[in-house]
Amino acid sequence: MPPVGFIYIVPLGCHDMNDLETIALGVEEQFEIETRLLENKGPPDFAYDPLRTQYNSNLILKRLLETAPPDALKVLGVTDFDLFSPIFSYVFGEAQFNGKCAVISSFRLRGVPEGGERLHCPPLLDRLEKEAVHELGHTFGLRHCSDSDCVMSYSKGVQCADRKFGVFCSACRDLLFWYMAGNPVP
Amino acid sequence: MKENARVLVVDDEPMVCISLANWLKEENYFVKYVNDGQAAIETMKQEAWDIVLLDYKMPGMDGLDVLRHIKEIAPQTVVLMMTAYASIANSVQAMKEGAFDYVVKPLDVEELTLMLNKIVERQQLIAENLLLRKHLTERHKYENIIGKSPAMQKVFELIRTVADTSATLLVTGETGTGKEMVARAVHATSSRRYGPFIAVSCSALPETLLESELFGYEKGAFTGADRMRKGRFELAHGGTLFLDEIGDISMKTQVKLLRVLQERSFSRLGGTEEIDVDVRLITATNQNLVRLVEEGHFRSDLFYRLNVVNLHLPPLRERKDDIPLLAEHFMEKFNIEFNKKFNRIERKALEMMVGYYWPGNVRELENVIERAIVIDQGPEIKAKHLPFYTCETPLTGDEPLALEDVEKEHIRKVLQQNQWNVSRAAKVLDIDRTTLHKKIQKFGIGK
Repeated sequence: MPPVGFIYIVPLGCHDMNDLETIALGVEEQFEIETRLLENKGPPDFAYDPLRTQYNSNLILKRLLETAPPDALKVLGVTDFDLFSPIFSYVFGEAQFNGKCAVISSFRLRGVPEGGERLHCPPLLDRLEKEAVHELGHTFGLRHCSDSDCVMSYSKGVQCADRKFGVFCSACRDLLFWYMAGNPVP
Repeated sequence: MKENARVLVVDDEPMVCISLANWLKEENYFVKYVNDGQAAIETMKQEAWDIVLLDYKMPGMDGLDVLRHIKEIAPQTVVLMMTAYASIANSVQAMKEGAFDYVVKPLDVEELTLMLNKIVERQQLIAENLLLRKHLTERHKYENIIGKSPAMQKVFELIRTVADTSATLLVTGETGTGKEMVARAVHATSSRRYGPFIAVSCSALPETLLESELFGYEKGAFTGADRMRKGRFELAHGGTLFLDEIGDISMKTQVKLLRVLQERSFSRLGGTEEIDVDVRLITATNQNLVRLVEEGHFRSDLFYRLNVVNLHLPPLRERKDDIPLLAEHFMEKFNIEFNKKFNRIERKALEMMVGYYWPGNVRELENVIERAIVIDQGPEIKAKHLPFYTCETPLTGDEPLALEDVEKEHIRKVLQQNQWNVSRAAKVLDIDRTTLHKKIQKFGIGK
């Protein structure tokens, strides 16, 4: 039985809402679940850590969970601000493994791709979309994949993010729909 | 491998634990976390962990204390220290105590990923190495006999050749060289292996008792024979009979034995019925049977019947290559027996062992390792654990000493090592207390 509910994308102080619409379409395509874009909530000041001058991703996840719409299957926060998890110096994004919420940031995803200019879509949007699918994949119980082309492979940096595709490999895709059907995540 | 790598996170901050555990799960590790040192130690005792991510500074028991315990409980577990206060002194101390490396909090994801990958690869290499070493050890083993030296390889070859024949075997060698183990190995690899293996020490029994033990007796054969009893020859039917210290049997028993070997039958004491037996005979002695024959103490016809195949076991001092292998084998054996965690032998200790004369051969080596493991917690067998440690120059075998002098000297040193505790010294020497007391008197050894 397919999961009931929607994937919500929550902008947290994003500059370009057009980008988010593109991301929402990509997410909907990958997960085959209707994806809705909420209004911009503004910068996540509640998560700002003055000592680290960064934003605590754990606190953002907590807030997203508290404010999730009742029909939300998953919630993805998107921000332009630099995220950290208490244990790590920075993160591109963080997800509640096999949980409801995830958050991604464009802050560390900026930069020149390997090999210079890219001819197709702007690299930042491309990277953000991959990161969105990747973190949401974790909320469904998917782990890092050893296939370097798969969107669930671990990106050591933006170069790795550029190299992988924005879609699941066949194994991860099968697993995703297996978990979505209600089978337990080990 | 990564899917199976088990990571234990130890940090007093729950948020750090949750965060790290979450990330490690995404990275395909099996993860568990605890919030204090005591819980970490308990978890280490209950389960095996490949990697521990350990916080340096925790209230109560700090990271270094926990590290020491972990290294005692599971020396093979790799410990990665996490610290918010990076200092050279701290890291040096942690590495000295056995930590693999340390990372500074907040952690760099890339650095941690690389480090964990490196550890997993290292663990894989260690596992492969252990497997290879195990295979190598198997090559240096025949049944339970261990030896890679050319002399022992020849022994293995001879055992393989004669095992499946019914040839009578005479095993010779000094005391403690493993003659009974050879007999058992021959039996275990022969077609008789499903039959019984019966061992009799001929020197342990007086003549009359030995006869009744070997051939059995009928009811009423002698006073006290209130029922018929089968002897060892009958009990060994279809299998192997091992007669140790064959050089000690009386002339009368030699005649009876010769008859059994010729006729393949015998009668019980006090009986007339001929009993046919199908027994493979293996005998052993540490005496020079040829000389006994020359001196008229051993029948030549019996000697030739027993000595169809001679298998000579070299003394340990003549196969020094095997000493490290044997020492390691006994270390593993007694680790299991005494629930200890010794995992290496100090170079100096090994050098001393290789240089020692080993009058008691493999059995003495076994006792020395047993003693070392009993008296210490490990994880290293050190020179100071060896009973002959006080020897400024270990016996090399070149000293112009009579065998009796060597024995006297050895007994004196073992007694000193064991603070003149006769029971303990007797155990190390592998003789009983009475014998040791007799020897102390005989040699006039005093404190």
